[in-house]
Amino acid sequence: MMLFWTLLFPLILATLFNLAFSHLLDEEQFINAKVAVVEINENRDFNNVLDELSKDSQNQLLDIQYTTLDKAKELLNNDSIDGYLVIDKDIELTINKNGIAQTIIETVVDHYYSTLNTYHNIYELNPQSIVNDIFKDANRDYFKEENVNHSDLTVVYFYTLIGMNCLFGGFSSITLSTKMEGNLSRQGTRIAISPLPKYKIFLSTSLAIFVVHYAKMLVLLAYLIFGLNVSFGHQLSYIMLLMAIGSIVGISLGNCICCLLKTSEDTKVSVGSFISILCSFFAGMMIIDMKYLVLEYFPLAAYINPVSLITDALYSLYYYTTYDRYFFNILCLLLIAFVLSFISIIGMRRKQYDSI
Amino acid sequence: MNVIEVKNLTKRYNHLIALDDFCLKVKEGEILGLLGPNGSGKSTCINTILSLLKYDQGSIKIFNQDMTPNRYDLKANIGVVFQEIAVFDELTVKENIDYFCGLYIKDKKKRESYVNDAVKLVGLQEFLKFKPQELSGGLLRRLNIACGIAHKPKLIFLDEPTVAVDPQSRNHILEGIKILNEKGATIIYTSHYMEEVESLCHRIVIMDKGKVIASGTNDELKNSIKLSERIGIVLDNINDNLINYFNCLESVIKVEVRDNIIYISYKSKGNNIGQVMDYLNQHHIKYDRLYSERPTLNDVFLELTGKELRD
Repeated sequence: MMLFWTLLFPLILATLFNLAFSHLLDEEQFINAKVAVVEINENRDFNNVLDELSKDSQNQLLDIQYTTLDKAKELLNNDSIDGYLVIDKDIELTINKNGIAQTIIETVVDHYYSTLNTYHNIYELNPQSIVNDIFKDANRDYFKEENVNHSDLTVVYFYTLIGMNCLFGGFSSITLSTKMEGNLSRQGTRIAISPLPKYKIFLSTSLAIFVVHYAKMLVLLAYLIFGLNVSFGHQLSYIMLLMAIGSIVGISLGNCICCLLKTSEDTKVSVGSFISILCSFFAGMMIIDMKYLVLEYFPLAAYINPVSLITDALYSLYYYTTYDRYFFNILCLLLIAFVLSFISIIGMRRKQYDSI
Repeated sequence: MNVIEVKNLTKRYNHLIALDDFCLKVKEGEILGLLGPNGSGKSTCINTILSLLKYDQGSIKIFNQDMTPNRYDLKANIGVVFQEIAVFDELTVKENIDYFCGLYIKDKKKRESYVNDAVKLVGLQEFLKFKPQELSGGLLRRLNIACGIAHKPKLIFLDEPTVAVDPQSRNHILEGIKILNEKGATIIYTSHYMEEVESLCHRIVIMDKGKVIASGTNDELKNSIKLSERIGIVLDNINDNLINYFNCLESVIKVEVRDNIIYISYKSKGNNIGQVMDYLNQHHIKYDRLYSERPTLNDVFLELTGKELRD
């Protein structure tokens, strides 16, 4: 069961996220309008416009072929083209049906004419505005373009998943701490009467949990990067450091729950699950805007929520070029881990009990 | 030398007194039986001696030194077998014994030899690769014991180790305990089963409500009470004349009738059974069976407290 929740469940959830969000930012598949152009009289300006709109780029709207009138008619009848333009004194469009492609071609021609008319009117009625535009261009501020990643809010969901999985390390520490504590299990009683100091047991157990849990985190990360192509930028070492510290926070949280609550192991695991899910919710896992609402109205809550800190650190690595925000989040996480570990040590250091 | 010396030990759970001015001495090399009904304080006594439980007053010495939670040197020579099974379900039989032995013995080769000895002692050679959930109750108890004694401690606490165990496993366990004692271990053995305690223990301490109410060897305890012999007669026709006759006999404490059996309790030893046989033969009273038995520890407990040992 532990293996499912800490390894398989995050992988399944990541897959579901990917299925739900992967095509959100894909632009709709656009098919260029096929146009034949019959040039009876040369119109250099319009030809330039057509060349620009048929260039192989993000702005391509048209597929153009220059041909004769008869050939153009034949192509239209065969539905090999969406319409043909006859460039003479005027520009005439011929189509045989209505559709998106035909509308696009029509729009291009209409827009050309309306733009042309507009500029003619400006030159005739207000030539001063042309001069003003020239001066404006001369005084423009130029900004250096930064090489930043394309903004993609859907990665937040995957980042919160990493944050949540860090906290899932607490499940293992709850289970093992229960088995190590003298008044919580008979195995713990056996260990308590052994000549092994408690701090050694605590450290070795925590280290073992960390190694196993971190390995699971690496599996998740590898799956996200290579399996689902989730973008994390190019700072893998920083991400791995963040995951290590996040795992420590999760393990410390589990130890803390174990020593503070005097209930069964199942109840403690339930409390751990609840805290993880709650933190993930407020970090924006279910509703992405929640993260921003918390930052706006309860900023302190964002700084004590480990999932929020991990998500924010990952996002800052992805989106920013400086590390200030990243290291600030790291510091907050370390502080949380310290506080939780301190509470755990205080609670677990006792060697005698009131009852067993 | 006294391996354990407990003086005036008192342990309270709120208003309940679990141990009430409890005193105990255990000599080196002896098997001490700790007998008492449920709730008498046997487990509390063991857990307190082991420094697992806090106590309100008194002193505890083990191997002539004050016992505290930090006395790892003393803990290194103590082994405990709890009443509840205390093994890891995820590990095999051998791995469990090796794990718990490893808490005491760091040297790998030495530990391996100790583990093999423990396996032989409890007879689990064929089950080394089994997981605990694959073992029967009796085998699980044997595993539990092996985990507690693998490191060859000088002092062993066994808290009801044969509960719910089949007769074969029980015999194996009792034999194993005797072997441990022969090899020099001092053993504290708690149990509900008087027969085990009577057969195994050199000395017996009877507890009730956190106090020691009697202590001594098997014979000493039985000789300390009024009852010295009980004669049982199994017969079909039990009439009042018969009962009245036996009641009037000298040194008879009481006569009871249960399920067609007359029980005659005598306070002194003598030719009691001969006397009964003579009477039955003279009056031509036919009987199925006639037997004599010594008092049990339950009788000792009953006389001291007015209640049965098995409540």
